[in-house]
Amino acid sequence: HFYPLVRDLLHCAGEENWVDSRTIYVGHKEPPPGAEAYILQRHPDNRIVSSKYTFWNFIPKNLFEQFRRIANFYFLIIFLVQLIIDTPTSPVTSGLPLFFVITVTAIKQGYEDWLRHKADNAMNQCPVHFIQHGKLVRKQSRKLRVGDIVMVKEDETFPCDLIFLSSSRGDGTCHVTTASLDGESSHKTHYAVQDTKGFHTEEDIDGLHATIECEQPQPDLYKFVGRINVYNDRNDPVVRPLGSENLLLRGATLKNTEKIFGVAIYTGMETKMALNYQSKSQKRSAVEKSMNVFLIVYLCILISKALINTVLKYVWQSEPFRDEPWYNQKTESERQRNLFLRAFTDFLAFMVLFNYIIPVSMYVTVEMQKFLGSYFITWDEEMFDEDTGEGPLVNTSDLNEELGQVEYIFTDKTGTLTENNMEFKECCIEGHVYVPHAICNGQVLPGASGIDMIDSSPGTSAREREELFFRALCLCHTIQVKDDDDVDGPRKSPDSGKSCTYISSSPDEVALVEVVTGLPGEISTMVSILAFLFLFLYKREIYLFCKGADSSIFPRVIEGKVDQIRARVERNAVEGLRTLCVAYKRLNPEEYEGICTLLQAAKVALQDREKKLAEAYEQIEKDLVLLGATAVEDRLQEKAADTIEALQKAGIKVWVLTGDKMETAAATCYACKLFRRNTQLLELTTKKIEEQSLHDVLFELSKTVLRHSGSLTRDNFSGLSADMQDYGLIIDGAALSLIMKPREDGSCGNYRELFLEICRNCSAVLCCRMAPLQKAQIVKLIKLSKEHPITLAIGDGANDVSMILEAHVGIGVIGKEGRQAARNSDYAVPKFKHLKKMLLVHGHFYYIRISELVQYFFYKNVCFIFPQFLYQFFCGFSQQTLYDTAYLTLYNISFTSLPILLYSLMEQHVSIDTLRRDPSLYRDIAKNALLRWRVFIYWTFLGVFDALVFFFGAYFMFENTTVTSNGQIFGNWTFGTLVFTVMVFTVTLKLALDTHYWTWINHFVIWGSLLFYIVFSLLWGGIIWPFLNYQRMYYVFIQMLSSGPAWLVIILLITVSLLPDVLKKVLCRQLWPSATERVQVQAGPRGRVSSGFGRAVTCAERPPWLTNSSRCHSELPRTTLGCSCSQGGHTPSPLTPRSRGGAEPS
Amino acid sequence: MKRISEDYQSRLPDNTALKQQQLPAYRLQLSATGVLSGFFAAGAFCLGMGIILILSAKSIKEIEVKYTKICANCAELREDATNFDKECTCSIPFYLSETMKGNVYMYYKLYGFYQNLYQYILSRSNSQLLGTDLKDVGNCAPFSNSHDGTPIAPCGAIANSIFNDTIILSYNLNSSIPIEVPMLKSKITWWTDKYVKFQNPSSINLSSAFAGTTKPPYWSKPVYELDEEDPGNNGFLNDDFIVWMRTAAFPTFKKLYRRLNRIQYFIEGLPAGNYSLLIFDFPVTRFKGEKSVVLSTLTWSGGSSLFLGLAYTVTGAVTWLAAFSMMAIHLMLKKKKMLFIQD
Repeated sequence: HFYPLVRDLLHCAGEENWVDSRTIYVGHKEPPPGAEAYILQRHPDNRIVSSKYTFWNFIPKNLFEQFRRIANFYFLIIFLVQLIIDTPTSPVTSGLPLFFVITVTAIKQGYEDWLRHKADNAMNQCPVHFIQHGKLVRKQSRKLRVGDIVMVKEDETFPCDLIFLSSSRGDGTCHVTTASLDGESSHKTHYAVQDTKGFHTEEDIDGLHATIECEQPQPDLYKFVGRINVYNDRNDPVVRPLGSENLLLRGATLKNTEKIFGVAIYTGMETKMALNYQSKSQKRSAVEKSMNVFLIVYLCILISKALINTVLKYVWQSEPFRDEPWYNQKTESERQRNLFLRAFTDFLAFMVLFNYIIPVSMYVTVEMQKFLGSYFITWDEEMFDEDTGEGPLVNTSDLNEELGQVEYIFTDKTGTLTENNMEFKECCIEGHVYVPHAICNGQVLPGASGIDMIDSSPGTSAREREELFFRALCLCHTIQVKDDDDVDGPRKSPDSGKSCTYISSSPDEVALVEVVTGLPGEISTMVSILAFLFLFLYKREIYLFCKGADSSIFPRVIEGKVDQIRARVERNAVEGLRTLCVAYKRLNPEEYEGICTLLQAAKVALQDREKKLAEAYEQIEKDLVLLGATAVEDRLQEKAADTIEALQKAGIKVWVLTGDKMETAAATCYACKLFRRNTQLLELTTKKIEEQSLHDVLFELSKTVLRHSGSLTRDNFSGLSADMQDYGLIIDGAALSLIMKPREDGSCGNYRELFLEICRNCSAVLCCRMAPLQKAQIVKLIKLSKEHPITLAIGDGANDVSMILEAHVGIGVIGKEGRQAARNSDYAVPKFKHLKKMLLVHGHFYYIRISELVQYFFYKNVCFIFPQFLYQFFCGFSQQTLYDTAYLTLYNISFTSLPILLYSLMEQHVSIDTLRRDPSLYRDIAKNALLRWRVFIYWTFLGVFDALVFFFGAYFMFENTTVTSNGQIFGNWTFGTLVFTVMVFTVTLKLALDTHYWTWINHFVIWGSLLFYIVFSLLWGGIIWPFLNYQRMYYVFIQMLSSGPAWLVIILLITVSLLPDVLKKVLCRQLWPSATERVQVQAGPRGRVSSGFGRAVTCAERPPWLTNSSRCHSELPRTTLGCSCSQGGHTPSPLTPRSRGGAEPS
Repeated sequence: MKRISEDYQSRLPDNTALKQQQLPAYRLQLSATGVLSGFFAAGAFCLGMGIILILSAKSIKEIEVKYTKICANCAELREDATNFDKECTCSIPFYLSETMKGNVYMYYKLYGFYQNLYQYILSRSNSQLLGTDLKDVGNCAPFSNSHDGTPIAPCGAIANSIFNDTIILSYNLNSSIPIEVPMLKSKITWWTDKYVKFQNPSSINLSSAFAGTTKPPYWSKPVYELDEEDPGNNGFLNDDFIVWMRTAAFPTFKKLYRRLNRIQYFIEGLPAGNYSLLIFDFPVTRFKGEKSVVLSTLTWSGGSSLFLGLAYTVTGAVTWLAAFSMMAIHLMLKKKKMLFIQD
């Protein structure tokens, strides 16, 4: 009597707009005539293509993609210009490095693509069993088509998305793990279609005559609607609903089941796995962005240099005796060339002459620095977690230095701040509180009833309630028992006869069940699962149990000791415990029938199934009787509080984003010192907004906050703001969505701005009741606010992935809730506490290293090219180079490359211990401090100054003095070599002066490259090289060194060019020392306190006007402005994941 | 359990100093005493050096005689191509007030002659100058071949524009008979240039070696007749030619022309007195520059310019100034700090 009803319902559903659907003919069998029109639909085959290139298009496509990068394109243009026009520099000088960069990148990308091809092939060619004419056939996976019936054995991966028809297990279920899909390693149960679960053999299944209608492929892994029409002998087909519990996804693995049969519905690139194959968007660091800006500045300098020289050349040449002096006549063809063409060629030639100012080698060095530098994170022993045997992971090395720039941290609570290791603390039944030792195997031990809330001792009715309560805990869960006996030998211990593991996606449930029962057998007697209401047939009576968060249970309760339990729940929540409430309802058979009908109707709906189900649950779950509540503790991770405190001292704002309820989350925040005792809490919650309008609440809060902000901004930079009145904001998901929602009149930005203003003035923000997408929304909101702060998101679960992908830096905690967060993150750490070293030590180092690298590179190339520019004024703008080609080529490649690379890998301006001990040093580099315009201009001017010194020092020397002591004369190449020698030494020594951390490697590399320069020059000038058609450098270097005045001028010029920088450094340290410099001085060369510069004001010797301000704020009372614990509707709490179970009640 | 521990071991990072960024290192710190003493030392060195250099430069005697204007007539005469082989000399008298002791070097100095033009520097043939391939004139445009196509030796713009003034210095001992001052033309080039970089083509005699080539258009004599007095100083091995071929870095430059042969009257150097320069001319008005002759003695620190000495002195002074001001600031801050502690 039940099915016709369903069918009617289905027919109604069929009338709904059913456009985007596909019909699948199981086993490619046409439906019986008259039932439906047989329309053949075309679907792609089961080939997976994740590779980017093919063998043929690799070279053009890869080159095209590489030259889309502006830098590569620029170098290509320069190279081509050098090839085409007659320029003073050889095309090899810029072609070779470019070729190197392009080739290395192409090889890397080609290798990665080859790996993808291999993986694709392995996947596409792996054999699949499927049924053809009642027989089992093996074929390659890629030949699978929609409608084929497939057999999958245990531990095999499903080759495509299948509708589960039958399994070897009698009850038509199978277990799968979706570890490679969403990271959850738990076993999930799937259910075969009711009418086909009896077909166990190939012949049986071949006899199946059915069609499936379902939606077109969608990326959502957990959503699927469809229906199956099974044609029996009668013409009337049986219609069954299909949900995601019937769908087996490609990528999932079959477990604990010998074999299953299924029919392919989505294949190849249409499977849900392929649709979820999202490529991570490229993140770029702030340093890279400023580097690009600097590049543009240098490009402008380059172009203007070339323009100036071109214009001056033609002005200078306006007199004919200069245009073509008698000793330097032009050839006939040169005379006849068009003036404009000549000018343009000259412009290009100047561009080429000065192009070294933007060196290719900088890109190579930066890439190498990032790649090699990232190993320091993976190698770090302190970040290795011995419990789990996991070390940190680096998924991208592009963002190393961004770790030193973080201003906002968004952290998940469960599993990140807390252990996600649930421990049952107590339960409260009917107002009586029980603690774990009083509970054994589901029975409250007599005489050990713990703390009583009310005086009356439990009577018989209470006994019954207790039993019901534990019964509910035993039944209301999604736990599976995994018998260890099944697992292969080595881990099995001989004496564990009954050893078993509980597997569940919710750790709370494991904790509860482990307490309640020691017998796994009892769990397997579970009768029914219907979302988070559980029906149970008990003593011939039907009970409906309901377990959930207090906010969703209390509104539905009509009976029971509501007030006492509520008080207890709230107390537990404040202590940071996770609470769950249990309620029940007794049903009579008629009610039960009604419920079944209602649910079935909702479950077969094709459209809006979710909504209809929610409505059905709403109807069923009312008038409940409250039984009691449980409290589970999720312990804080070790050193979480210490870490948060350090991060806050470092000037980083820490936000906690959690799905938990407000009280629990706030308690965790207190426990981990995010909120301190003197923190004034501001609340922006649904309940408050219900009382006042959102507008009023926001304005009131902003007024409270801004009252202090005047004094706040003044002291904020002194690094002492820790002592000030600070605010903590609590906001919940519903209030946030109200703020984010654009208003009708279009002025959407208004509330956001106000909200941001409040957040900016709060030292800590807690966002509770957040949906995963809202987490990403918050991150995006802050990221795009007007200061563009650098954000970091850290989390461990699949629900944190969206925010990890959104933030500038995403960090995954390799946690218990699967590895999905770690996989999608930029960096992964085993524990939250490792974030401290990651940011304060590694991030800090990476930042100072790469900023010095970038600035130094620009500096040394200004030094390199500016003399060349100046020389044009003395050689009639004829594009004569100052240096020999070998020097031009090797300057960036070998003479000055290694010291800076090693510096950028090894430098520690202060020791690791100091950085860890004193988090406030992190503020010194905040806001990209070392790459600000002021610093950049300083470095550029230093480069220009040095270049002027090199050039004019040598110029005056050559102009007025006989350089040798034997009267012989030096030529232009000696002049260039002299300038070059001074330059190589100055530039290297400048780096040596900047190096604070001298290991043997630094010594080796710095002195080694100077030595290399000398040896190279001796060799280069010492031999007549047969492959060169010019010998202009022959003996030039040796002759230069044999002259006394040359030595004198080299020493003088090096001293003069280094002097101002040293002076500036010393004076700045003395007069305006930064915190880092103070610490450096205190540490001293060998750890002792030396009387150095910069000890003017140390932390201990605070001036009196500053010491007054410390600790002058009395602890202001915590103004609790509102409380939100009730929340209407069925907001799923993270404690009770809604599983869409669907077995019929027996 | 074994498998797990092995796995664990392999994943545990190595505890090497390099990987843990714990390499033993010296921390470079700019301590007050270190920086101050460094500055004072550097300043002292520079000051000392500067004074020594100034003194040594002062001891050098140098005299420059410009002759462009005086020889203008000759130049004009030479401009006209028809007067090509007419001899024109001009004589410039000058007075040397002090004796130039020691080795005296004679330079010619050109103003506004751009030997460093890009095309000019390229316009030479190294294989020709090495004597290996006389016909290789590929880089020498526009002075690679004569009108009839014979290759020029030495080819190129540099060789073509060689400085061909002949300068003779005479000493008027007692205002009646001028004595020609004996000069050496050897060792005015780099040794390597003369003996490695420049080679004559091998043959019985030079004229046959250069057969099949022609002289550069501006030259009056072929390359193998450059020095009529010394047959070994001809061809590509001519010292004046080699000196000219080393291109100068700036448009104003001097090149070594002769060394004083210290014999007879000139054993001590050039005595004070009246001298005159006899010059056989070089076309100069066309490039609108100036020419002069420089006579100079030398010391270990080079020529007579004060530049190096002054630069050292100024640097030393500035360094000391900086050092003193740093010391003052340091002491001031120290005093202030003491006050704080007393408070």
